[in-house]
Amino acid sequence: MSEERVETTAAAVVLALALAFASASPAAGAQALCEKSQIRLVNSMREIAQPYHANLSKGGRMFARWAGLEGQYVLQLNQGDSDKQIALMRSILATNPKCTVFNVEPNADVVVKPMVDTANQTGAWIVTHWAHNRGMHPFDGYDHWIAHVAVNSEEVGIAVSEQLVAAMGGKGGLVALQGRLDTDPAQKRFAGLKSVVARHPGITLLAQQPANWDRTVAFPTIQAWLAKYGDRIKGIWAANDDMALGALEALRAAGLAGRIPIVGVDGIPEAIAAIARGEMTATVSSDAFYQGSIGLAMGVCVLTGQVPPPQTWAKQQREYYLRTTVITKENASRYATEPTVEGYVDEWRCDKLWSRASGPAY
Amino acid sequence: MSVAALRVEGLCKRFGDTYALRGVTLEVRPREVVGLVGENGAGKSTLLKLLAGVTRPDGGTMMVRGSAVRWRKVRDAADAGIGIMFQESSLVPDITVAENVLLAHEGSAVRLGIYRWHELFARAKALLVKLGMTISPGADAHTLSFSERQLVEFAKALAVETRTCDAPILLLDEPTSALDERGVATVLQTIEELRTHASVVLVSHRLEEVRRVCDRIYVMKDGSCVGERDARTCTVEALQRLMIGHETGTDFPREAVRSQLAETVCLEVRQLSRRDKYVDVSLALRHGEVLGIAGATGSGCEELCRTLFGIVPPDSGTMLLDGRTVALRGPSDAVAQGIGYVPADRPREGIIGAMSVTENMTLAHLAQFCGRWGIDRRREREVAERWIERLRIVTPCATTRASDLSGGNQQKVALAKWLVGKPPRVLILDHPLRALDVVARRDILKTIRELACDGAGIVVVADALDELLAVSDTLIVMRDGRISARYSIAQDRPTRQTILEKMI
Amino acid sequence: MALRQAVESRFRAGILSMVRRTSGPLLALFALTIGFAVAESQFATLANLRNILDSSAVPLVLSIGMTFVIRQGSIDLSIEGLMAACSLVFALVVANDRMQFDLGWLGLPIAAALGAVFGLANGLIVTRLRVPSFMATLGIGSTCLGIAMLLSGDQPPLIRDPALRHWGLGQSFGVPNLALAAAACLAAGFFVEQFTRLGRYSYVVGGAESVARLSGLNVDLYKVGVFAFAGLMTGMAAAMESARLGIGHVEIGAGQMLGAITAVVIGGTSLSGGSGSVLGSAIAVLALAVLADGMVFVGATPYMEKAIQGGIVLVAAIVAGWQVHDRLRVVK
Repeated sequence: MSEERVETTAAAVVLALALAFASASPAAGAQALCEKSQIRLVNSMREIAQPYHANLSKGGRMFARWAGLEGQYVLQLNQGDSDKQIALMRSILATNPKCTVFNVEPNADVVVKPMVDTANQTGAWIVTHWAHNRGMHPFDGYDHWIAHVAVNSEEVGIAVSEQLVAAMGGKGGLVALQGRLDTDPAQKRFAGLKSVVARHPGITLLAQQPANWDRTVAFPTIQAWLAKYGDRIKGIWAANDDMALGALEALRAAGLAGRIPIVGVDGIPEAIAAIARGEMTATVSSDAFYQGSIGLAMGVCVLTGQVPPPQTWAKQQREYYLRTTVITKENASRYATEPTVEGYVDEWRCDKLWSRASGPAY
Repeated sequence: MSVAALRVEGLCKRFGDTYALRGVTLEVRPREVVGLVGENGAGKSTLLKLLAGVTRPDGGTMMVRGSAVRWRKVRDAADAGIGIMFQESSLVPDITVAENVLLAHEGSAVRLGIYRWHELFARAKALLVKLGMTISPGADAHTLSFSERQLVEFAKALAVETRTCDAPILLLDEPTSALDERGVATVLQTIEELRTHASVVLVSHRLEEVRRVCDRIYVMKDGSCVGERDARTCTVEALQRLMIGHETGTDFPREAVRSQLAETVCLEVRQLSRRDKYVDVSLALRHGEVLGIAGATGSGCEELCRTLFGIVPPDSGTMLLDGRTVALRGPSDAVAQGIGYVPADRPREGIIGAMSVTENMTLAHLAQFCGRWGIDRRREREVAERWIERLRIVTPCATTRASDLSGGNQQKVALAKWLVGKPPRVLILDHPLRALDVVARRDILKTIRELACDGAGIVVVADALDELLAVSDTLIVMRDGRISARYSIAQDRPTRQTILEKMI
Repeated sequence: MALRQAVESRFRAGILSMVRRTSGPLLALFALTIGFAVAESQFATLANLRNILDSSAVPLVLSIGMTFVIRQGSIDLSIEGLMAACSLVFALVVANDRMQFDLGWLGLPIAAALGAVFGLANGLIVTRLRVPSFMATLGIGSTCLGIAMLLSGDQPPLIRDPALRHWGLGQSFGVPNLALAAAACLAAGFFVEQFTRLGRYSYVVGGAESVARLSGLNVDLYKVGVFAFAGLMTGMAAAMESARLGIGHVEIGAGQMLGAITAVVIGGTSLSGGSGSVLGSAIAVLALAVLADGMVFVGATPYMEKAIQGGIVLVAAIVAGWQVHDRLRVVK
């Protein structure tokens, strides 16, 4: 569907939810659990070399600065090692556990349970993103698991695939670069693609390959496909922007840059620039700045008593889907420059924490 | 009188607590070929290594062309014009013959780090041709035959000629041991030619050759020079006598410990052959018999031992254990068949220095010490202590590290390894008395005889001739890969002289 | 004239042995190529051949350095970190979107020189501090990765130099530019291996280090030299890949190390040192590139490719060890 309709629908949903939450949220003025000076903010993510993660941390830092807690901001990088992510959490909780807030991009779904258990044991507070172990939810008695901010990867996949199919004119062959297939986003996004392809009989999925989220793998793969399928390839689908950009360079080497539509996911600045230039068609952003900061905002609100403890919240306040934005040529200019703190302060306020919620995720 | 090309005085070298050289004094004059002879272990190779800068002396002085020298590294000696041909193979397999010959002596054939192959090949070719070799200097070294390799090593020693304009000094350690007659003739001819401008020190077991080509001959024994003879006037017998030395007063009384030889044969080999090592070896070892094998380096006796233990399969021939033909698939197969082996290289192959005496002893038959829960340490200790007592091993306790023991006791531990389990059928002892002092040697010999009395068949390879004579029931002598003589000690005891003749 | 004579002399003798030595990887290359060509008709086209040459360019350059290192009995585990650091520096000194530099083609020798410096560090730690090479290079590799991450910050630099981008992506005379660059590096590596002391002594140090020392060679000097040479090649490879992708990338070396070692082993260089040739490694790199490309053509997943790669290494190692009969040979 077009971007306008997405926005309208989203607004309507938000309004409805806001009404629902307004009636559900109890009075403010609950007990403050920590002195503001004691609060420690931790952002736990894979690494910082990729722009997506870099923006996660930038968002977190922006929030910390705005909240006057910049000195208490800690970044934990696990380099793709799940054990390390857990170990880092445990080691920092050796001191001041009860006033520490974790905002976590889990290295793998299965990392969430140990981290949530650790939080419950030590009295620390945690907000997780993306996906978690099946069969458990924050409202199942994990009182220190403030919330889980999920992304509906299948909807993301559908949204970006629709853009690709539209750019292809509804017919032709496409090739797909999948992410690491043992992760939920990779599987769900690809499932989204498959369902879109099924809906459009004129579209054929010529081939798919996991390319490790990495442009250095995407490049030779696209080269090989170009040799194999030649001009039967009318579109390229990539599960993330890094692979999409690698595909773009491969096209450039073949003199085809801008002639075959490419889509990706993440909304990194390089991709947005490519979209503005017309070399990429679309990407989907979950807004890394927001993801990197909202968990910390929630934690501060809880710790300063501006919201009641999470066990009193409604279920959909503790596990919900994050609203994502499809970026195409039409709105690329709006996202081309790096966001400033003004764009977010309204959404960090304790009564607006769920302003980007788009529905329950359980 | 012109100054000596090379002169050493009182040179000493120690390895641990054994002296390899005790006060060697000798001299090499310019344009002279000097021979250096002696039994294995007399210290000849060590002396050459000191002269070439490979190791440093612990005492004494060296003088090259009149000035005292002290080598810090091999390069220093090479710069002074001393070239050495090692006894052990020192060729690099994956490069060409020319590179091997001129290694570290490339000179102008390598300009600014870049090889000028044409020149390198030409220089190497010149040296090879001098030795009558027709192989291409561009051939890879690993394609050469055994004898070709030795000639290349000789050429390598000759290469030092190209470095200095001074008269070079060449040290040759067994240059002919792997060559056929024609090769030997070529080498000797070359040495003759070298005499015109170089000095040569020739170490060899082949006394006839030494006499033919040298001016003077030094005889070494037990780390020092025991005599100097003029090559023209002395006889091979005189040299041999010097090499052996006088009868030592403590001749081992073998008659006291005599076993009754059984009639059954425990180990027999027929026409065992292995290319380049030994040919057509046949022998029969009875239960309770001690078979001594005497042979110089290159005679094939060490390789024979390794075949008997299954380390290296023979190319042809059969081996029978208690009348049954066997084809050993490896050392573990040999151990399973009741064969034990004490290697010559004790510190590296005989014992594990870092492990305790007990652990060393139980190594070969560990399965017998395993209970349900793993190694039964208590039983291990008991057995170890029993053998420590029986073999009179001097050790602070059973858990001492083997490397802390003296050489003789280490050897007993290595022996005990084969005794702690089932009594062995055959024991092969490769140079068991090497680097041991007199008392330790007697002890080991006594133990060998005791083991024979217990019924094991024992093969002993050694170069200490009087001890071999003392302990063996049968003695075979090997030379150049073949058995050159066979003696039954009881009936026909040979003299040391005779044995030496057959060995060399 | 002298050069021609030299080459002739060298090769009259050695050409047959060289052919024999590279027969293993050659066989693999032919078998794979023919196999995939039969399976997929589009495989054996000129366009795909170009792809294969292009995708093998960077691993080939890496394998040159690795051949030298493994041949001398060491190992270099710092490739991925070194590539990252050199990639970042390269991207930052040429025209980019973060800094004002614009050194153009000078970026290539700078990246290569930086790689050589890190390689030198590898060599010095191994020879002076007597740290085993696998540890020393792991350490330097991690350090370089850290440096790369610092330089990358939160925004990896994008390369804007059009000449370099064209070089990285384009072709000359129908052959991808990077493949031509790799061929030049191969020629250089071959020259060093066959005609210089550094190359010849790497055989000696690897095959018989005791002999090397006994002969009075300054073994340490040559060991350091080999590491520096490998670093030079790694830096060059990093610049090549960065020019192709247009970015200074921390992950640029991901997966390259195992590929390089695999190629060197398949190419005939024994892991215990002393033998092998850059030609053999280069052919092995081509074979592996054919394998990777063919897998995409056939539609098999990359996980299958890894399994097959592993299988090839095993077969190569077994075949290499077949000849040696010594039952006492120590295999660790």
